Order: sequence, then structure tokens, then C-alpha cells
Amino acid sequence: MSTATAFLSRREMLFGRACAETQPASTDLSYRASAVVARMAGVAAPARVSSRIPDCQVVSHRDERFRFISDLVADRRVMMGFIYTHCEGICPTTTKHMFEAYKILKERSTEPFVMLSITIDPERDTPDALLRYAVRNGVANIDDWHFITASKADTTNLLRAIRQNNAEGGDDLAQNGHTGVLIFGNDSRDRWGGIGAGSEPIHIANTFERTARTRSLRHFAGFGTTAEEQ
Amino acid sequence: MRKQTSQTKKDLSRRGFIKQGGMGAILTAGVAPYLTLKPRAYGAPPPTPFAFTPFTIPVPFSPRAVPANITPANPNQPPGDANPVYHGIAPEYALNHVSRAGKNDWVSADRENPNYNWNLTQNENDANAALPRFKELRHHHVMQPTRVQILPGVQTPMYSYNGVVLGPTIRSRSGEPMVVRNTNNLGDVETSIHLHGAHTPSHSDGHPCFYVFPGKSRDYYYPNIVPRKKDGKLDWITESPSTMWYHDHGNDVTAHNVQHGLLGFCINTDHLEEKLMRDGVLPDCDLRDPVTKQLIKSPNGATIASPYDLPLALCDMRLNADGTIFWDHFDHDGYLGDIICVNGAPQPVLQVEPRKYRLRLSACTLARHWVVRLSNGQPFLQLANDTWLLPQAINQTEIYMNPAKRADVIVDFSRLAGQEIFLENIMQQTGGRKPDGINRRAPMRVMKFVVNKPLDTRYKECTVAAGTPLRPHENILESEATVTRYFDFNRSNGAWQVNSEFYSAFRPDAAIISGATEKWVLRNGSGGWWHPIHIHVEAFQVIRYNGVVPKETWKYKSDNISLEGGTTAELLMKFRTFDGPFVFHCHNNNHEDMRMMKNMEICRNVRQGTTIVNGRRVAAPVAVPTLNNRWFSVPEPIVGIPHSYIQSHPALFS
Repeated sequence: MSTATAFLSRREMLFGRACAETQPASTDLSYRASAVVARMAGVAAPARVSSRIPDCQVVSHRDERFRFISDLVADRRVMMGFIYTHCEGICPTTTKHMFEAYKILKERSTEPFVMLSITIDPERDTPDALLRYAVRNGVANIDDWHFITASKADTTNLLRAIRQNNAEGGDDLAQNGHTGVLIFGNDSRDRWGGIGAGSEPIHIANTFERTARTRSLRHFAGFGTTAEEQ
Repeated sequence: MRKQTSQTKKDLSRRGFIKQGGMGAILTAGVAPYLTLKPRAYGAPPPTPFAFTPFTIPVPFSPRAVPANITPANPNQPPGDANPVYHGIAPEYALNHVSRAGKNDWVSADRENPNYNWNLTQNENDANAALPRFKELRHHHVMQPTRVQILPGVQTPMYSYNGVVLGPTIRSRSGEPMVVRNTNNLGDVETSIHLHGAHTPSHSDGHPCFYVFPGKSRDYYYPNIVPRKKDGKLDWITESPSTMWYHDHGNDVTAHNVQHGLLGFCINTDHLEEKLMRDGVLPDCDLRDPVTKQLIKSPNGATIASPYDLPLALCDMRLNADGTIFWDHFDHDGYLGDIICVNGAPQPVLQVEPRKYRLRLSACTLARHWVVRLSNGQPFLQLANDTWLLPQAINQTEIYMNPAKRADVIVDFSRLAGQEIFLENIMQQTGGRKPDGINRRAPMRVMKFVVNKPLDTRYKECTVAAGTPLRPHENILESEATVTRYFDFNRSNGAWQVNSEFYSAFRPDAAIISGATEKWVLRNGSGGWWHPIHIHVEAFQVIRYNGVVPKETWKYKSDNISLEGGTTAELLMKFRTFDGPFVFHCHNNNHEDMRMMKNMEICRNVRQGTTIVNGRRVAAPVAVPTLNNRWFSVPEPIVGIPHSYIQSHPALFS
């Protein structure tokens, strides 16, 4: 290391020092990135991503009825996972990692967001079954977390729209073909993303924060030195 | 809807690939019927609902980047709010440069040997060189939304560098240091710029976590030097790059950003290639008008610098009814467009003279694989694979290009005056996962060349022919490799993994001792997916593909290799000059965004440790990475050993 930079460590040189938390996360829910880009480019704003997802009727493990888009997604930050309650494959990991990520996210920020665990086996996973599953996973009392079920047709359409149906063809709800992907969205900003549910919870939390903007981007300015690691 | 011209209709009919039934709109749109996706279990993406007449729109070329008056960030100041450039500049900028007293005027110097200034001369024996050969080149690229007319009469909002798609073509020379300030004015999306094919410091390499945030800037420092040979001297002769491209590399937004226009070319020459141009072996890439001495301009006034040396980016697009680019945020198979574009224009036409042209073909698609050929059966004369000139020019009738592959070719139009020929793609593909295979009887026309311009005799014809020596090549020997690493590229529950792990920003998946030679074995065990793997920072040499010596063009230097289903590629690679984290990943950008990526960290710090050689643990120097996994309870991964091996030999790894 050259003497010219002796007062900075190599890590700091490369990745920057931790930035002070001066800027709060954006709470401007009227901001819509795709619309802003369209305005800057001088064209009409495109339809939101969520407009391509069916606004179907769903029921939660608390027996609450929702419209999927209008009540749970519109103008919200949302994390979606896909499970069925008797799954012995990826689903337990999905739910466990969502919970771990949820705890990290709640510790870091007060920005509201919605957690959705959507069953791909709506015939077997009644609201009661989902409640038992949520209790078993210790998350039944988290107000922002809904374990939801819908009719088989609605579930199929929903999974098709967000590409979480059986990618290998055949039965859309086939349990051996379902994905273990978490979907992140910020409908206000029209920003969507995802990550494999098998990723470490810290990465699930980080990626959700960056995609859904529950915190300021500047937490991600430093590679390995800022709050991204904490 | 516009009608097809009779000429085009005739062409299409003659080729015999018009099919009737339900394809009317597509046909009128000038897109061959096989381009439509097969209906799949979850429904196909909607076809582009606009018509256009193919082979009428001229190929656009981006202007050369114009140097900007910027003052590079002070490398001794940490990034952050206090720094005028929020994301700072690479620490190598200070280490490589000597500041002249009182001036922010950096003269490049060599970190390895402070008495040797790499910028003084490229001729290491030239003792008379006293002044820097090159001034530092400075550019300022502002990423901003812009409105582009891809299809006639349809306005498409896109991302751009400095308002143009593709971005301005950077012209650099080996040994010429360059600082490109990238400012993100895209509103809400984070970016990171990767100069693909370049040998750059980690800070400037477009590591997916080294972002440029909205409203912020990063100074990308490109020393434009080459890796060092065993004797310590810079390997100008065999390692200098030619065609590079820069594109976005932001973590999990790469595919979206690249498809929306964040890409451009960088054309580099060194004294060897410049001599080939001076001697008339290759077309001059800086052709000047003999009278005005100005660089040649395209009809729209932009400086493209040579009408005979043209970068051609092969892309595919799919548009929505409102003109925006179709983008499915939830589809992670791979983006496949139904409009074939070259440099952003749909199935365009290029009027050429009856002479040799150098075409720098670049597959800038996210998921589409190509096998390109010329419609008259004439071979290409391939000059370079990816970024590096081949040892000699090679005749190639068909060239396979996976996403991110570049093929630098000469096309000889000199005996074709008055004729029209097409650049064709014979690789069929109906889904993002992999191509369906080659069908030589159903070519997809990419663009048309019309040989109708008179020969401009002011510029001499280039003389390159099959076998013409270009750039000497030095084989890396398998015996030089001190470490063998295995990487398995696999799919897991709808996302992609390498060695059964998702990408972690904090985990050094390969901690490499700076200067080491390594053998990497890349495997794709699944038949259902193809993965084009790109390794940053240095070229690699493929020694075996599925156990056999690879084809001619893959034997030399590459920066990406296609892992077809169920294949294994063995390659040799050196890691030199720069240390810090870099990545390697699948260049199907949708797969990359779903974490089919790994960190490799080139480390200067070495400790005594152990490593596994032929299944036995032996004492050996081990690299000490700065990335760490202290936030995780899992033990530090043992680099270079596949998990399956660890699991089956628990005694070795307890």
C-alpha cells in the first residue's frame, strides 16, 4: 500500500466509508419510475406492471377476504413467496428465510411492507390449514404477513401472470415443478425484482430493500462496509 | 400497416419460408414466422403489434465519444457525500499516477516498478522516450432517458448514454489512460458499468455491487494496460484488446438495463494493430478524409470514423402497443425479442462499396444465440474472437455466437458489385432457456448489404487474407496451473446457482493469489439450459471442451464460453495486475440477475495454509480475501472444491 493512501484502508479506498444515515428512505409514494422515465423521454406513461396481474379474490389465514392487487399490492411494497403446507422441499426454507428477512427488515426500518405467502395447493390449503402452517412457523401473529389461498382457477392465473407456475409444462400447480423464488415489488415505483428463496436471509433483506426502496440506496453505496452487512 | 415492398415479398417467397395461417400480422411486420414463440404452458409473450418493411432502414452508427472537460475525482478522498464524485475513483488512480506539484495533473506510473512509466512508450527498448505517449483521455457519459424510433412512427422510451442508443463509441489505445465519468440521471434505477473485455481495476470493472446511484457519479479509471508476462514486462504484443463493449452490470437489474439501451462499443488499438492498419492489411478504423483531414462522418453528421470498419451490435427487441419495450419482470428464463435489430434498427440495410469491410459483430442479446452466415455462402474472414485478434485470419462459413460473444470479421464485397446479400442467423430459438438448434434451410435474415456504392479509390483496399498473421499468441501451459477449481452451473427451484449456491456479495467464492495461473473446469450438468459464462478481468484459453481440443477460434483468447446443456469446458487463466473483487457469471443476463454469479477476489495478501491437490491436503500459500463471510454462521468455503466432492470425502474436510 502506497504511503499516499496510508490514512485510508484498502477497503475504504475501494468501497468507501460507511455513509452517515442522513437521507431517510423515500416515502414519496406518488413517485413512479417508469412514468418519470416516460415523461423525461416525452412519451405516454406505460401501464403498471401490476395491471398485468389478475386482481382476484383471495382469503387469508385470518379468514380475511382481499382483492389481490387492490388490497394487497397496489401502492405497497410487497414480498411474495410460494408454498404449500405439506411441502417437504423448498417451502420450509422459503418460509424460514422470509421470516429471517422480515426480522432484519423490521429491525432496520419502519417503512411498511406486505408479506404474502401464496399457496400453490389451494384445494388442500384452506385458511385453517394456512393458519396451522403459520402458527407452526411462528409467524401467525404478524399483521403484515398474509398466508393466502384462492380458487384453483384464480391461483393458476395468478401464478401464470407472475411466472411462478410449473415451468416444466403440464399442470400449472404441479408441486414437483413449482419454483422457490421470492418476488419483490414496489407498485408505487413500478419496480419489481426477485431472488431465489434459498439465498441467505441477509441477501433477501438487502435485495428487497434495494428493490422495494424501504431504505435509502446510500446504504448500499459501500461494498461490505456499510449497513448492507449489518 | 405498411405493405411490404414487392422486392421484399419476392425475396421472402423465393427463400420459401412464408407460411400461411395466423401469421399475417407477423409476416407484414417483416418478421419470419419461426420467430414467434411456441405457445407454452404459461403463455407466450405478446408479439410486437407494429408493422415495418425490413431492409429499408439504414444501419445507424453511434458517434465517436467526444472527450469531456472533467477533473477526475481525487483518489485520496474516500467516496461519499464529501467527495465531488460520490462513488469516487479507483485507488489505482493514485497508485498508478504521480501528481505534479500543485496541479491535478496525473502522470501514469507503474505500481510494480515506480521507475517504469508504462505510458512513456509501448516500445520497452526505446530509451529515448521521455514524455508520456498519451494524454489521459477523459469522457463524461450521462445515463439518461431518451426517446428512440426503433420501428417507423413508434416512439420507444429507452435508457441511453448521452442521449444515444447505442452509447457513444469510445476510441482508446493501449497504454492511453482513460477516465470515464458515468453519471446516472435515470431517476430510480441503480447502474454499474462493465467494460467487457477490458483489464481494469476492481473499482472500475462494473462489479454488480459497485453501483452508480441515481443522481450520482462514478469515475471509471481505465489504465488501458495489459497483463504482465512472466518476466515482469507488460505483454503489449499478445494481450492488447481490440473490440470491447460497455454495458450495464447492476446487481439484479442488468438484463433490464441492457435491454433498455445501456450498451455501447469501445474500439481499442495498439501499435501492432495500428501498424496492420497503416500497412493496409486491415481497414483503418480512424479513416480521415484526404482533403479535409477530418474523421469520416456518417450521413447524419456523427463521426463514425471509418465506413470500412463498422461495429454491429446484434440485438432483439419486443415492443408493447404503447411503444415501450416489452419487459416481463417475472420471467427469468431469458428475454427473447421478435424483432431482430442491428445497432438498434430493425432488420436494416447497409449500402457498401465493392471492397473488403471489417464488421465487428457483437451478440448483444440477453438470451438469443446466433449462428451467423452470409446468404451467398461466402465465408467470413474472422480476425478476432471476443476482444482479441487471432494469431491469423481464419475463413469461417458459419460463426456461432452465444450472448456476449464477439466475432470480428472481414466481409469481401469486391466481387459482388450490384448484388444484394444478407447476413443470416440459422440458429433457431423459441424460448429463453436455450436455442432449438441449427436449421440451415430456415435462415432468419438479420440485415441486408447492397453493393451499389462506387468504389472510393481514394482509400486503398485492405490486403488481409486467410492466413495473414495478426497477433502472436502465447499458450498458457496446463503445467503452469497451480490451482484447479470446479464450478457447476445448475438450476434450483426456478433460480440459478453455481456450485449449489446463490450469489453472495460478501463471499469470495474464489480467492486467487495475484499473478497465479489457474485451471478452471466449468460444467453445465443440465441438458435443458444453456449458459454462456463470462469471466471478468482477463482472457482465458479453452484447452478442452467436453474433453476434446476446441475449435480453432476458441483455442486462443476468449472472455466468454457457451456451456451448452451437459457440457464441460476446461480453461486456463492468469489473474494479474489488479486485485480486489471481480465476478464471473452467466451472460444470459436474466440468469445472472437471478444470482448465477460468483465473486472471485484477486488477493495480494497470502498466508500459509493448506489446499487440496489430487484429493490430498497439502501445505500451500493461500490467498487472504478482504471480502468476508463473518455475518454468516457457515464456515468459510473451501475454494476450488466442488460441494459434491466435499460431501463424498468428509474425512478430508472435517
